[in-house]
Amino acid sequence: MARADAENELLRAVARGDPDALGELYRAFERPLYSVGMRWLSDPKLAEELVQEVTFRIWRRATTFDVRRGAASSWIFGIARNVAADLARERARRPIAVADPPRVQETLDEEKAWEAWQVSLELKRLPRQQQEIIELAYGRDMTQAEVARTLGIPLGTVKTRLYAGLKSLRRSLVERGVVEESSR
Amino acid sequence: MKRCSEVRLDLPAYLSGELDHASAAAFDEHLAACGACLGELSELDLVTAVLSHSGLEHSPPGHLEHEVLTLVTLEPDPAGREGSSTKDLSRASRLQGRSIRLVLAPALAAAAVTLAAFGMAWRSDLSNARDRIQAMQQQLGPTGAPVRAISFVESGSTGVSARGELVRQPDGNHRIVVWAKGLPHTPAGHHYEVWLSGEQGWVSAGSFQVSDGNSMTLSCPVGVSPAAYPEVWITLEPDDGDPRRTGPSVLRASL
Repeated sequence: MARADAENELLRAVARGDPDALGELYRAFERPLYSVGMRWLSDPKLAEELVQEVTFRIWRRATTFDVRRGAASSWIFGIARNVAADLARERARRPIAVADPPRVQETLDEEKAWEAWQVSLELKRLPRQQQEIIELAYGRDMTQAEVARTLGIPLGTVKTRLYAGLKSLRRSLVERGVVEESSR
Repeated sequence: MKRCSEVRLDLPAYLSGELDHASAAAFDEHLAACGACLGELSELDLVTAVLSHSGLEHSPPGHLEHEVLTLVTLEPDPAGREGSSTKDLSRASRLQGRSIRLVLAPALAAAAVTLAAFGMAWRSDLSNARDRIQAMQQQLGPTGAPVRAISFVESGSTGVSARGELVRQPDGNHRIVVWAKGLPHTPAGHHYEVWLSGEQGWVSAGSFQVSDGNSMTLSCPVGVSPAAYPEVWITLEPDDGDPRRTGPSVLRASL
Protein backbone atom coordinates (compact mmCIF):
# COMPACT_ATOMS: atom_id res chain seq x y z
CA MET A 1 0.00 0.00 0.00
CA ALA A 2 1.37 3.45 -0.89
CA ARG A 3 2.39 5.68 1.97
CA ALA A 4 -0.41 8.22 1.49
CA ASP A 5 -2.99 5.44 1.18
CA ALA A 6 -1.74 3.88 4.41
CA GLU A 7 -2.09 7.21 6.24
CA ASN A 8 -5.57 7.72 4.83
CA GLU A 9 -6.57 4.23 5.92
CA LEU A 10 -5.22 4.85 9.42
CA LEU A 11 -7.30 7.99 9.68
CA ARG A 12 -10.39 6.09 8.60
CA ALA A 13 -9.68 3.54 11.31
CA VAL A 14 -9.35 6.37 13.82
CA ALA A 15 -12.77 7.62 12.69
CA ARG A 16 -14.15 4.20 13.59
CA GLY A 17 -12.75 4.67 17.09
CA ASP A 18 -9.70 2.43 16.80
CA PRO A 19 -7.21 3.58 19.49
CA ASP A 20 -4.43 1.42 18.02
CA ALA A 21 -4.76 3.27 14.73
CA LEU A 22 -4.58 6.54 16.62
CA GLY A 23 -1.37 5.36 18.29
CA GLU A 24 0.14 4.42 14.96
CA LEU A 25 -0.90 7.69 13.38
CA TYR A 26 0.46 9.55 16.40
CA ARG A 27 3.86 7.88 16.06
CA ALA A 28 4.00 8.77 12.36
CA PHE A 29 3.10 12.42 12.95
CA GLU A 30 4.53 13.22 16.39
CA ARG A 31 7.87 14.43 15.15
CA PRO A 32 6.52 16.48 12.21
CA LEU A 33 3.99 18.06 14.56
CA TYR A 34 6.58 18.86 17.19
CA SER A 35 8.91 20.29 14.56
CA VAL A 36 6.31 22.64 13.09
CA GLY A 37 5.35 23.55 16.65
CA MET A 38 8.93 24.58 17.37
CA ARG A 39 9.21 26.34 14.02
CA TRP A 40 6.08 28.38 14.55
CA LEU A 41 6.04 28.87 18.29
CA SER A 42 9.73 28.60 19.31
CA ASP A 43 8.78 27.16 22.68
CA PRO A 44 9.07 23.48 23.68
CA LYS A 45 6.09 23.65 26.04
CA LEU A 46 3.88 25.15 23.35
CA ALA A 47 5.18 22.65 20.80
CA GLU A 48 4.08 19.88 23.18
CA GLU A 49 0.71 21.56 23.56
CA LEU A 50 0.40 21.69 19.81
CA VAL A 51 1.07 17.96 19.52
CA GLN A 52 -1.49 17.25 22.24
CA GLU A 53 -4.16 19.51 20.84
CA VAL A 54 -3.76 18.29 17.26
CA THR A 55 -4.06 14.70 18.49
CA PHE A 56 -7.27 15.58 20.30
CA ARG A 57 -8.67 17.19 17.20
CA ILE A 58 -7.70 14.22 15.04
CA TRP A 59 -9.51 11.92 17.46
CA ARG A 60 -12.59 14.11 17.62
CA ARG A 61 -12.83 15.09 13.99
CA ALA A 62 -11.57 12.04 12.13
CA THR A 63 -15.12 11.34 10.95
CA THR A 64 -15.03 14.61 8.97
CA PHE A 65 -11.95 13.57 7.01
CA ASP A 66 -12.74 13.26 3.31
CA VAL A 67 -9.94 11.93 1.15
CA ARG A 68 -11.44 13.61 -1.93
CA ARG A 69 -10.49 16.94 -0.39
CA GLY A 70 -6.89 15.99 0.33
CA ALA A 71 -4.66 13.39 1.89
CA ALA A 72 -4.48 12.67 5.61
CA SER A 73 -1.11 14.38 5.82
CA SER A 74 -2.51 17.64 4.39
CA TRP A 75 -5.56 17.42 6.65
CA ILE A 76 -3.41 17.03 9.74
CA PHE A 77 -1.06 19.80 8.64
CA GLY A 78 -4.08 22.10 8.30
CA ILE A 79 -5.16 21.28 11.85
CA ALA A 80 -1.62 21.97 13.08
CA ARG A 81 -1.63 25.37 11.37
CA ASN A 82 -4.91 26.32 13.05
CA VAL A 83 -3.76 25.12 16.45
CA ALA A 84 -0.47 27.01 16.12
CA ALA A 85 -2.37 30.17 15.25
CA ASP A 86 -4.62 29.67 18.31
CA LEU A 87 -1.65 29.08 20.61
CA ALA A 88 0.22 32.07 19.21
CA ARG A 89 -2.81 34.30 19.79
CA GLU A 90 -3.26 32.98 23.30
CA ARG A 91 0.39 33.54 24.10
CA ALA A 92 0.26 37.07 22.74
CA ARG A 93 -2.30 37.84 25.43
CA ARG A 94 -0.03 36.62 28.24
CA PRO A 95 2.30 39.13 29.86
CA ILE A 96 5.98 38.68 29.06
CA ALA A 97 9.04 40.00 30.81
CA VAL A 98 10.63 43.05 29.21
CA ALA A 99 13.94 41.22 28.79
CA ASP A 100 12.35 38.38 26.86
CA PRO A 101 12.84 38.33 23.11
CA PRO A 102 9.70 38.61 20.97
CA ARG A 103 8.13 35.18 21.09
CA VAL A 104 5.29 35.35 18.62
CA GLN A 105 5.91 34.91 14.94
CA GLU A 106 3.54 37.30 13.22
CA THR A 107 2.80 35.04 10.29
CA LEU A 108 3.20 31.30 10.00
CA ASP A 109 5.77 30.40 7.38
CA GLU A 110 3.63 27.73 5.75
CA GLU A 111 5.70 26.91 2.70
CA LYS A 112 8.89 26.10 4.59
CA ALA A 113 6.91 24.41 7.33
CA TRP A 114 5.13 22.20 4.79
CA GLU A 115 8.48 21.25 3.29
CA ALA A 116 9.91 20.42 6.72
CA TRP A 117 6.73 18.52 7.56
CA GLN A 118 7.18 16.23 4.58
CA VAL A 119 10.88 15.73 5.29
CA SER A 120 10.02 14.66 8.84
CA LEU A 121 7.39 12.24 7.61
CA GLU A 122 9.68 10.66 5.06
CA LEU A 123 12.58 10.48 7.47
CA LYS A 124 10.38 8.53 9.84
CA ARG A 125 9.82 5.94 7.14
CA LEU A 126 13.51 5.19 6.67
CA PRO A 127 15.09 2.21 8.44
CA ARG A 128 15.86 3.26 12.01
CA GLN A 129 19.63 2.88 11.49
CA GLN A 130 19.62 5.32 8.57
CA GLN A 131 17.24 7.66 10.32
CA GLU A 132 19.39 8.10 13.41
CA ILE A 133 22.52 8.80 11.38
CA ILE A 134 20.74 11.49 9.33
CA GLU A 135 19.33 13.02 12.51
CA LEU A 136 22.75 13.21 14.12
CA ALA A 137 24.48 14.50 10.99
CA TYR A 138 21.92 17.13 9.97
CA GLY A 139 19.97 17.72 13.15
CA ARG A 140 22.95 17.98 15.49
CA ASP A 141 25.57 19.00 12.96
CA MET A 142 27.86 16.08 13.77
CA THR A 143 30.65 15.02 11.44
CA GLN A 144 30.57 11.44 10.22
CA ALA A 145 33.44 10.62 12.58
CA GLU A 146 31.44 12.05 15.50
CA VAL A 147 28.39 10.05 14.45
CA ALA A 148 30.50 6.89 14.34
CA ARG A 149 31.84 7.56 17.84
CA THR A 150 28.40 8.41 19.20
CA LEU A 151 26.81 5.26 17.84
CA GLY A 152 29.86 3.06 18.40
CA ILE A 153 29.96 1.83 14.81
CA PRO A 154 32.71 1.94 12.15
CA LEU A 155 33.04 5.08 10.04
CA GLY A 156 32.56 3.00 6.90
CA THR A 157 29.17 1.86 8.19
CA VAL A 158 28.16 5.47 8.82
CA LYS A 159 29.13 6.39 5.25
CA THR A 160 27.20 3.48 3.75
CA ARG A 161 24.05 4.07 5.81
CA LEU A 162 24.12 7.81 5.36
CA TYR A 163 24.47 7.55 1.59
CA ALA A 164 21.72 4.92 1.35
CA GLY A 165 19.46 6.97 3.62
CA LEU A 166 19.94 10.16 1.65
CA LYS A 167 19.25 8.35 -1.63
CA SER A 168 16.02 6.84 -0.25
CA LEU A 169 14.99 10.15 1.21
CA ARG A 170 15.60 11.88 -2.07
CA ARG A 171 13.38 9.42 -3.93
CA SER A 172 10.58 9.97 -1.43
CA LEU A 173 10.93 13.73 -1.52
CA VAL A 174 10.80 13.70 -5.31
CA GLU A 175 7.59 11.68 -5.02
CA ARG A 176 6.16 14.28 -2.65
CA GLY A 177 7.32 17.12 -4.88
CA VAL A 178 9.64 18.62 -2.27
CA VAL A 179 12.72 18.30 -4.48
CA GLU A 180 12.78 18.23 -8.25
CA GLU A 181 13.20 15.12 -10.34
CA SER A 182 16.69 14.89 -11.80
CA SER A 183 16.97 15.68 -15.52
CA ARG A 184 19.74 13.12 -15.90
CA MET B 1 41.69 7.82 -9.45
CA LYS B 2 38.95 6.58 -7.13
CA ARG B 3 36.14 4.42 -8.43
CA CYS B 4 32.63 5.91 -8.66
CA SER B 5 31.30 3.62 -5.94
CA GLU B 6 33.94 4.89 -3.50
CA VAL B 7 33.40 8.49 -4.48
CA ARG B 8 29.66 8.30 -3.98
CA LEU B 9 29.94 7.12 -0.40
CA ASP B 10 31.96 10.26 0.26
CA LEU B 11 29.51 12.66 -1.40
CA PRO B 12 27.81 13.61 1.91
CA ALA B 13 31.20 14.30 3.54
CA TYR B 14 32.26 16.36 0.52
CA LEU B 15 29.06 18.42 0.68
CA SER B 16 29.46 19.11 4.38
CA GLY B 17 33.13 20.06 3.98
CA GLU B 18 34.44 17.17 6.03
CA LEU B 19 37.08 15.96 3.55
CA ASP B 20 40.64 17.06 4.09
CA HIS B 21 42.34 19.18 1.45
CA ALA B 22 43.99 16.30 -0.41
CA SER B 23 40.83 14.16 -0.46
CA ALA B 24 38.73 17.09 -1.63
CA ALA B 25 41.20 17.80 -4.45
CA ALA B 26 41.07 14.17 -5.58
CA PHE B 27 37.31 14.34 -5.37
CA ASP B 28 37.22 17.46 -7.55
CA GLU B 29 39.42 15.73 -10.09
CA HIS B 30 37.02 12.80 -10.28
CA LEU B 31 33.94 15.01 -10.55
CA ALA B 32 35.48 17.01 -13.37
CA ALA B 33 35.72 13.83 -15.40
CA CYS B 34 32.57 12.00 -14.28
CA GLY B 35 29.17 13.40 -15.18
CA ALA B 36 27.34 10.61 -13.35
CA CYS B 37 28.98 11.39 -10.01
CA LEU B 38 28.51 15.11 -10.59
CA GLY B 39 24.80 14.52 -11.18
CA GLU B 40 24.66 12.44 -8.03
CA LEU B 41 26.34 15.24 -6.11
CA SER B 42 23.77 17.71 -7.37
CA GLU B 43 20.89 15.48 -6.27
CA LEU B 44 22.27 14.92 -2.80
CA ASP B 45 23.04 18.62 -2.46
CA LEU B 46 19.32 19.37 -2.86
CA VAL B 47 18.37 16.81 -0.24
CA THR B 48 20.94 17.94 2.32
CA ALA B 49 19.93 21.57 1.78
CA VAL B 50 16.32 20.66 2.56
CA LEU B 51 17.41 18.62 5.57
CA SER B 52 19.41 21.45 7.06
CA HIS B 53 16.28 23.63 7.17
CA SER B 54 13.82 21.01 8.27
CA GLY B 55 14.04 21.41 12.02
CA LEU B 56 15.64 18.02 12.66
CA GLU B 57 17.23 19.47 15.76
CA HIS B 58 13.84 19.44 17.46
CA SER B 59 12.91 16.07 18.94
CA PRO B 60 9.75 15.60 20.96
CA PRO B 61 10.44 14.47 24.54
CA GLY B 62 10.17 10.73 25.04
CA HIS B 63 7.31 10.98 27.54
CA LEU B 64 5.01 12.92 25.22
CA GLU B 65 3.52 9.95 23.39
CA HIS B 66 2.40 8.25 26.59
CA GLU B 67 1.00 11.47 28.01
CA VAL B 68 -0.97 12.46 24.94
CA LEU B 69 -2.37 9.03 24.17
CA THR B 70 -3.35 8.55 27.83
CA LEU B 71 -5.29 11.79 27.82
CA VAL B 72 -6.97 11.08 24.51
CA THR B 73 -8.30 7.75 25.77
CA LEU B 74 -10.32 9.74 28.28
CA GLU B 75 -12.29 11.19 25.42
CA PRO B 76 -15.31 9.61 23.78
CA ASP B 77 -14.14 8.10 20.51
CA PRO B 78 -15.05 9.69 17.16
CA ALA B 79 -17.98 7.33 16.75
CA GLY B 80 -19.43 8.71 19.98
CA ARG B 81 -18.54 5.83 22.25
CA GLU B 82 -17.17 6.59 25.69
CA GLY B 83 -13.44 6.74 26.21
CA SER B 84 -11.82 3.60 27.56
CA SER B 85 -11.36 5.17 30.96
CA THR B 86 -14.93 6.36 31.31
CA LYS B 87 -16.88 3.54 29.78
CA ASP B 88 -17.96 2.27 33.19
CA LEU B 89 -19.87 5.48 33.78
CA SER B 90 -23.22 6.19 32.29
CA ARG B 91 -23.55 9.50 30.50
CA ALA B 92 -26.36 10.43 32.88
CA SER B 93 -24.23 9.97 35.94
CA ARG B 94 -21.41 12.00 34.44
CA LEU B 95 -23.74 14.90 33.79
CA GLN B 96 -25.44 14.97 37.14
CA GLY B 97 -22.66 15.73 39.56
CA ARG B 98 -19.29 14.35 40.40
CA SER B 99 -18.05 12.92 43.60
CA ILE B 100 -14.43 13.45 44.40
CA ARG B 101 -12.26 11.05 46.32
CA LEU B 102 -9.29 12.69 47.92
CA VAL B 103 -5.97 10.91 47.85
CA LEU B 104 -3.18 12.52 49.79
CA ALA B 105 0.39 11.73 49.02
CA PRO B 106 1.97 10.93 52.38
CA ALA B 107 4.75 13.43 51.88
CA LEU B 108 2.18 16.10 51.24
CA ALA B 109 -0.06 15.46 54.18
CA ALA B 110 0.70 18.87 55.62
CA ALA B 111 -0.50 20.52 52.47
CA ALA B 112 -3.88 18.89 52.62
CA VAL B 113 -6.20 19.56 49.75
CA THR B 114 -9.74 19.96 50.86
CA LEU B 115 -12.25 18.87 48.34
CA ALA B 116 -15.96 19.24 48.45
CA ALA B 117 -18.35 17.49 46.17
CA PHE B 118 -21.37 19.59 45.42
CA GLY B 119 -24.49 17.77 44.43
CA MET B 120 -25.94 20.89 42.85
CA ALA B 121 -27.39 20.57 39.38
CA TRP B 122 -24.99 21.87 36.86
CA ARG B 123 -26.10 24.97 35.02
CA SER B 124 -24.91 25.62 31.53
CA ASP B 125 -21.74 27.64 32.03
CA LEU B 126 -19.24 28.97 34.52
CA SER B 127 -21.23 32.08 35.40
CA ASN B 128 -22.12 30.67 38.80
CA ALA B 129 -18.57 29.62 39.59
CA ARG B 130 -18.09 32.49 41.98
CA ASP B 131 -21.23 31.53 43.90
CA ARG B 132 -19.94 28.02 44.26
CA ILE B 133 -16.52 29.20 45.36
CA GLN B 134 -18.12 31.44 47.96
CA ALA B 135 -20.32 28.58 49.13
CA MET B 136 -17.22 26.47 49.39
CA GLN B 137 -15.47 29.14 51.42
CA GLN B 138 -18.45 29.41 53.75
CA GLN B 139 -18.46 25.68 54.21
CA LEU B 140 -14.76 25.75 55.08
CA GLY B 141 -15.15 28.61 57.55
CA PRO B 142 -13.30 31.91 57.54
CA THR B 143 -10.64 31.51 54.90
CA GLY B 144 -9.66 35.11 54.36
CA ALA B 145 -9.92 37.74 51.71
CA PRO B 146 -9.94 37.10 47.96
CA VAL B 147 -6.76 38.46 46.41
CA ARG B 148 -7.52 37.85 42.76
CA ALA B 149 -9.52 35.71 40.37
CA ILE B 150 -7.76 32.88 38.53
CA SER B 151 -8.62 32.01 34.94
CA PHE B 152 -7.60 28.51 33.99
CA VAL B 153 -6.75 27.49 30.46
CA GLU B 154 -7.27 23.90 29.43
CA SER B 155 -4.30 22.08 27.95
CA GLY B 156 -5.64 20.63 24.76
CA SER B 157 -9.31 20.23 23.99
CA THR B 158 -10.13 18.18 27.03
CA GLY B 159 -13.45 19.91 27.52
CA VAL B 160 -12.44 20.92 31.03
CA SER B 161 -13.13 24.44 32.19
CA ALA B 162 -12.28 26.01 35.50
CA ARG B 163 -12.13 29.21 37.44
CA GLY B 164 -10.68 29.94 40.80
CA GLU B 165 -9.62 32.44 43.34
CA LEU B 166 -6.44 33.18 45.25
CA VAL B 167 -7.35 33.88 48.86
CA ARG B 168 -5.20 35.36 51.63
CA GLN B 169 -5.96 33.66 54.94
CA PRO B 170 -5.99 35.46 58.29
CA ASP B 171 -2.66 33.83 59.16
CA GLY B 172 -1.03 35.43 56.12
CA ASN B 173 -0.83 32.22 54.10
CA HIS B 174 -2.68 31.74 50.87
CA ARG B 175 -5.22 29.25 49.64
CA ILE B 176 -6.39 28.50 46.13
CA VAL B 177 -10.01 27.64 45.58
CA VAL B 178 -10.80 26.06 42.23
CA TRP B 179 -14.09 25.21 40.67
CA ALA B 180 -13.87 22.95 37.64
CA LYS B 181 -16.27 21.39 35.21
CA GLY B 182 -15.68 18.39 33.03
CA LEU B 183 -12.62 16.80 34.63
CA PRO B 184 -12.62 13.26 33.27
CA HIS B 185 -12.84 10.24 35.51
CA THR B 186 -9.35 9.42 36.80
CA PRO B 187 -7.96 6.51 34.77
CA ALA B 188 -6.77 3.45 36.64
CA GLY B 189 -3.24 3.85 37.98
CA HIS B 190 -3.38 7.64 37.89
CA HIS B 191 -4.33 10.63 40.02
CA TYR B 192 -4.79 14.31 39.45
CA GLU B 193 -2.25 16.58 41.11
CA VAL B 194 -2.29 20.31 41.81
CA TRP B 195 1.03 22.10 41.35
CA LEU B 196 2.51 25.51 41.82
CA SER B 197 5.23 26.37 39.37
CA GLY B 198 7.88 29.06 39.28
CA GLU B 199 11.51 29.66 38.44
CA GLN B 200 12.50 27.59 41.46
CA GLY B 201 10.65 24.57 40.16
CA TRP B 202 7.43 22.74 40.97
CA VAL B 203 5.71 22.31 44.31
CA SER B 204 2.83 19.90 44.75
CA ALA B 205 -0.22 21.19 46.60
CA GLY B 206 -1.89 17.78 46.79
CA SER B 207 -3.60 15.15 44.72
CA PHE B 208 -7.14 13.95 44.16
CA GLN B 209 -9.23 11.57 42.13
CA VAL B 210 -12.45 12.04 40.22
CA SER B 211 -14.73 9.05 40.27
CA ASP B 212 -18.01 10.27 38.81
CA GLY B 213 -20.06 13.37 38.17
CA ASN B 214 -19.19 16.48 36.29
CA SER B 215 -18.32 19.44 38.51
CA MET B 216 -16.10 19.85 41.53
CA THR B 217 -14.67 22.39 43.91
CA LEU B 218 -11.38 22.09 45.71
CA SER B 219 -9.45 24.21 48.13
CA CYS B 220 -5.66 23.96 48.39
CA PRO B 221 -3.51 25.60 51.06
CA VAL B 222 -0.52 27.19 49.40
CA GLY B 223 2.64 26.64 51.41
CA VAL B 224 4.79 28.86 49.21
CA SER B 225 4.70 32.46 48.06
CA PRO B 226 2.40 32.92 45.06
CA ALA B 227 4.83 35.59 43.86
CA ALA B 228 7.62 32.99 43.62
CA TYR B 229 5.36 30.32 42.15
CA PRO B 230 3.04 32.28 39.90
CA GLU B 231 1.53 29.40 37.92
CA VAL B 232 -1.01 26.78 38.95
CA TRP B 233 -1.20 23.49 37.07
CA ILE B 234 -3.43 20.48 37.38
CA THR B 235 -1.86 17.41 35.83
CA LEU B 236 -2.71 13.75 35.44
CA GLU B 237 0.05 11.77 37.14
CA PRO B 238 0.81 8.04 37.09
CA ASP B 239 0.73 6.26 40.45
CA ASP B 240 4.40 5.38 40.14
CA GLY B 241 5.66 6.85 43.40
CA ASP B 242 7.68 9.49 41.55
CA PRO B 243 7.16 12.77 43.43
CA ARG B 244 8.13 14.84 40.37
CA ARG B 245 5.71 16.17 37.83
CA THR B 246 5.79 13.76 34.91
CA GLY B 247 2.19 13.62 33.71
CA PRO B 248 0.36 15.71 31.12
CA SER B 249 -1.16 19.03 31.97
CA VAL B 250 -4.95 19.25 32.11
CA LEU B 251 -5.42 22.83 33.34
CA ARG B 252 -3.10 25.71 34.01
CA ALA B 253 -3.37 29.31 35.12
CA SER B 254 -1.28 32.30 36.09
CA LEU B 255 -1.76 33.77 39.53
